[in-house]
This record gives sequence, structure tokens and C-alpha cells, in this order.
Amino acid sequence: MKIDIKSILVPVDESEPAQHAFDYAMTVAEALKAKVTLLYIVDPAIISADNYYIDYGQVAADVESYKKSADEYLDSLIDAAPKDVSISKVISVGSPSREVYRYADKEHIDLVIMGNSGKGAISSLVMGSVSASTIKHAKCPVLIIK
Amino acid sequence: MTMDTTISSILVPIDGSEPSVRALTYAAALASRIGASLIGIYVIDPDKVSEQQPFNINFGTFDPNLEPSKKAASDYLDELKENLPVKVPFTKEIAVGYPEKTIVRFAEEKKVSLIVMGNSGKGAASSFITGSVSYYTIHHAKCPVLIVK
Repeated sequence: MKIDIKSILVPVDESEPAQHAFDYAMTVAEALKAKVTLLYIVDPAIISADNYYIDYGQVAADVESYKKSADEYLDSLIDAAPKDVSISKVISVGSPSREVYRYADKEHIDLVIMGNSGKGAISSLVMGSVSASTIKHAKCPVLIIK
Repeated sequence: MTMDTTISSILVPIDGSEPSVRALTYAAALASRIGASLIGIYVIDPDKVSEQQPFNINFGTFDPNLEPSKKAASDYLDELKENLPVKVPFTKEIAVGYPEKTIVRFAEEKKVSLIVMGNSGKGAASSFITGSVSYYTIHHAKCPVLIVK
């Protein structure tokens, strides 16, 4: 079993549990001198559910604008982070339930730190589908924050 | 809203399964690097103990104090402590009750900073399916929970 924690993946959206996961990851990364990757997944299914489209070509255009606002959000997190923590940001498009563990496996991440539930959650006390899927499929340990 | 991110104590539920021992090894390594202490908790489920004595028709011979089970659990935790790969402060705790509820209640009472546990426990069909105890703990514990595969 790999115990050395050198890379930490923090999947974030604009939710409060994500903010807590980010804060927690900063403390852990500082203590362990680990690198942090912030991962934001733009989910086209959510974009098309949030908006009414007649022209589906518009979905692709909106993905670009969601990516832009995700990028600004990630920058605001990085700006607030302790300066001695090395942080990189990644924005990808897809289904968060699949993309988080795929990214973690592909990049050989040592630890995932994530919120219990995301933006659209009805209650933060119920485990979200993204955290459930990540625990189930990721090869590395997963730390869940409320 | 800001949260307290200090990790001073780590609770590790141990049931004798391989994932729980891996979780302890992981927690010990983490604790030594961040200066936290460990609490290893072994929860004896009275239902499981009586299942292991199926021909106990005379319930008068069933020991309600579960002393043999407690002694075995205590010895087991001592042995795990001896074999930890790193030296970290380790406290053992033996409790009796439903494991998931006992773990969550203990974590709250002792205000532990983090729970580190295996993905599945003893008797699990597959270690790739989140066990009921870990699932319940993630749902109900107020503190962060780290699941080790």
C-alpha cells in the first residue's frame, strides 16, 4: 500500500462542502508538502438541464462560457490559498461521477479530498452521487468532508 | 463559513479485517507526519458473538459481559500497536454495540478530527463494495472520513 502522499486531487464546484474540502486540503498539503490539483468538471448534462435549447449548437457555446467562469472560480480559490502550497488547476468536460476517479487513476493521485455533496444537492447530509462513485471506483484513498 | 482543519486525533475502527489493518497502517503514517495521535477502536457486536455460538441453547451460559471477546480484542489491539511501522501515540478503545452507531457516537463524544477506515469490513463479499459500516459512517459522522481501499 502506498502511504506517501505527494499528490492530492480536490474536485470542486461552487458548493460549501467543496470550499471545506479545499480548506482541509490546504492544511493537509502544507503539512505533507504535497501538490494539489483542483479539478472542476463542467457537466454538459447540467448545462442542458439548466437551460432551454432550441438550437443544440448553443450547448457547445455555453460549455465554453461555463469553462470560463469555472476558471475564474478556481483562480479565486488559488488566490486565497497559502503561498507555500503548490496548486494547479484542471477543467474538464464530462460526467463528474466518472471524471473524478478517471482523472485520479490516470494521474496516479495519492489522495482525493472532496465534499460530501455538490452544488445541486438537496441536503449536505446525504452522500452525493459523485462522492459515492469516487469512493467506489477510485484506486486511491478518498477523504470525504461535510 | 470556515472550518477547523486541524488534525489532532485520528480514530481508526478495527474489526480484524485486512482493510481495517491497512487503514491503521495508513493512519499511523499520516499521524506521524502531521503530529496527530491515534485511537484504535474495536467494537464488539453482541449479535455476532451469539451467532458464533449457535448451539448455545442454554442462554445462562452466554456471557453477557463478553469478557472473552473483550480480552481478545484488547490483546489484538496491543499486537497491532506493537507492529505499527511508525511510533505514534496510540490509545485503544474496546466498545460493545452496533459498530456503525458506536463509531459515530464515539467520534462525536471524543471530538476526533478524522476517521480513517477500510472500505469494507470483516465478512464483506468484495472489498470493492463500500461496506455498510463505512457507508453509515460517511453519512452520519460530523467529522471528515477517509476511506482506504
